[in-house]
Amino acid sequence: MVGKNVNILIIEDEKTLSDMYYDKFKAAGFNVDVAFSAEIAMESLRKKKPDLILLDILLPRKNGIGFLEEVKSVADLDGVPVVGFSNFDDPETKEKAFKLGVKDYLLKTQYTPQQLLEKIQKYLR
Amino acid sequence: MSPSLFFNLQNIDLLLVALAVAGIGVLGFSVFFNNRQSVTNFYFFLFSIATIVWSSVNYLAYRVSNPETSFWLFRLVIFIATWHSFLFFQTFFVFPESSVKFPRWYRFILFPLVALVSIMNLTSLVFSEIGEISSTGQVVKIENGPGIALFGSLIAFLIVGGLVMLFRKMMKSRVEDRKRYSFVLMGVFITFILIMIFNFILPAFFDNPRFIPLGALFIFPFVAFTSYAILKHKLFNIRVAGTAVLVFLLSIVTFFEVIFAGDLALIIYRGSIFILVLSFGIMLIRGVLREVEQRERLAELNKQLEIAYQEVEKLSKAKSEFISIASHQLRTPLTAIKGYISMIIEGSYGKFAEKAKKPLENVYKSNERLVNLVNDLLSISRIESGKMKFEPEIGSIVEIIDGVIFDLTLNAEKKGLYLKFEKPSTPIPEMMLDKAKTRDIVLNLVDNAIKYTPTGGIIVSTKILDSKFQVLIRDTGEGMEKDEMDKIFESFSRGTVGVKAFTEGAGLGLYIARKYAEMHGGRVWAESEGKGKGSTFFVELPVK
Repeated sequence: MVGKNVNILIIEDEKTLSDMYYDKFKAAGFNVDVAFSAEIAMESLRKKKPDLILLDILLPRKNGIGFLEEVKSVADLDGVPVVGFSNFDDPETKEKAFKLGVKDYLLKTQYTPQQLLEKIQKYLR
Repeated sequence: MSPSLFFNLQNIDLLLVALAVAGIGVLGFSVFFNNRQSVTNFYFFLFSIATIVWSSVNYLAYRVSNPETSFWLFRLVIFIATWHSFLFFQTFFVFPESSVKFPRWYRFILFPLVALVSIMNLTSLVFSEIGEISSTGQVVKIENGPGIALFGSLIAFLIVGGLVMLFRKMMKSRVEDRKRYSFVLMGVFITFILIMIFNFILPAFFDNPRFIPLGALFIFPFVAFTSYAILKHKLFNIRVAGTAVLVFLLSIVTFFEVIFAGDLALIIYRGSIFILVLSFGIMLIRGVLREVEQRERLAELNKQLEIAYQEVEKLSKAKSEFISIASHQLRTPLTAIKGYISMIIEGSYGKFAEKAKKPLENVYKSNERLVNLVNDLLSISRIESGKMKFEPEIGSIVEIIDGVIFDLTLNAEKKGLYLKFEKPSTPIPEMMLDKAKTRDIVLNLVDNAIKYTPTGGIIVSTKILDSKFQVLIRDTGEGMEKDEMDKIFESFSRGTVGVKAFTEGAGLGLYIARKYAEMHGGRVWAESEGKGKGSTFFVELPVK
């Protein structure tokens, strides 16, 4: 079990996708929390600090960039790795996300859930 | 006769006539040639001609010493004065429109009445007979006939009517136009008050014709005010005012020369110069005008072009944004299909019938094609909108080729093809590359070779030429004809083989490869010895 005792927060507003990733990460042994918006994610973060955040960028109301800015302002969350994860690969948005400290910016269609799982391993050490 | 003797006080009135004639002439021509299609400009031109004729005949009538001729010239003066006033009325009736349809009363009542009165002015009904002749043989008094009242009323109607129309149009016009019109109104008002008093009321009712020859002087307020409006406020949209003034001054100077001429030969000589100056002056005005018009047309075209360009920019931006958002929307369901199918195949959702494996893999592959198509479309959209960033860094092209071969070997093997990389014997130096784009160039070309090679295989090799680095992708495929080789690097274009034998791919990969190579300052091309003889695709990048 690669994800044993690892807490992951998936921020994804598309239910079909969040269900899919939930299934995958759950099966791999992760403790998975899913947030459908940046606001819900912030609430969840106040209760529990995860080991990794998987962040969709195009979200309703406050988007992923706004979320990153807010997370940055909370000292306690500073060390939590965030991986940007979106089908919106606008170069400018990508650049902004990297400036705000994302470890990576992955294009969803390029990865199967298994490949994604493998990809984020290195950020969990 | 010495010039100073010839130029005595008597000639002052001649000078005034000349000044007025030249001034209004230049004014009339400038207005007319400025816009020949406009009826306002046309009637203003006719009005200025009538003014010239009227001023000249008026002057002559005074100067001629034969009483009978002089008397007839006076009749001619009032004949012309009728048309002069009518043209004044007509100018402000159409002013400032470019085209006007005259109403019925205008065509069937006013115009015939003017014609009738003008003809009547030539008869004894208006000027019945000579009243008094001076010792020098000039007519100083004329007896009026009963028609003088009709003539006077018509003239008064036409002038007052013209002034009222100009005034009303001025009040209705936009603020910036009002100022221009007010100068014209002021000018014509003063001019006609002067003419009415000195050329009509005084001689007709007070037996005082002394000021008649100065008639031309009274036109000055009109010329001066209109010229001022043209110069200062761009009346009639005149663009050659400077040239017109120059021509006017030249005409005056040469006219003076004529006056100061001592003998007939000199008068003829200088007179010819005057006429030449006037003719060339008019030609000059027309020439300058044409040039100004062309410049204005160019400026206008430039403006239109700029607007069109902005529109295109806006459209192009909208298109890019649309494709960007649409791509995102397309990718979401594709991600779900890809993810779920991969998880089913991996067994994440339990066991499935063995015979379902192949169809599931086919769904996965089809989906991958869609994923790649969306990626290609988005890349093209970014390339074409100039949004695609070129991010060069030091890198090893051999490593990039190695990676591509590694990724595509499985694809080649599935088709029963070999895929080899003949590595260079000497080490290749690292060079400035946009790694992701260089990878896409090689990947697209090798992938294309695999697609269009039914048997045999693909060999990738490299070459160093001076400051250039080449990657050669040689296949044992169908090969191409010359015209096909030129076309395949365009977007949405596939070789005839592609159309005939394979359906995979939209023909975007080679176009993207070409664009990425160009971003590096390099190029891609294909060579083939013909159908059935295979092809070689070349990538050439500068070594920096």
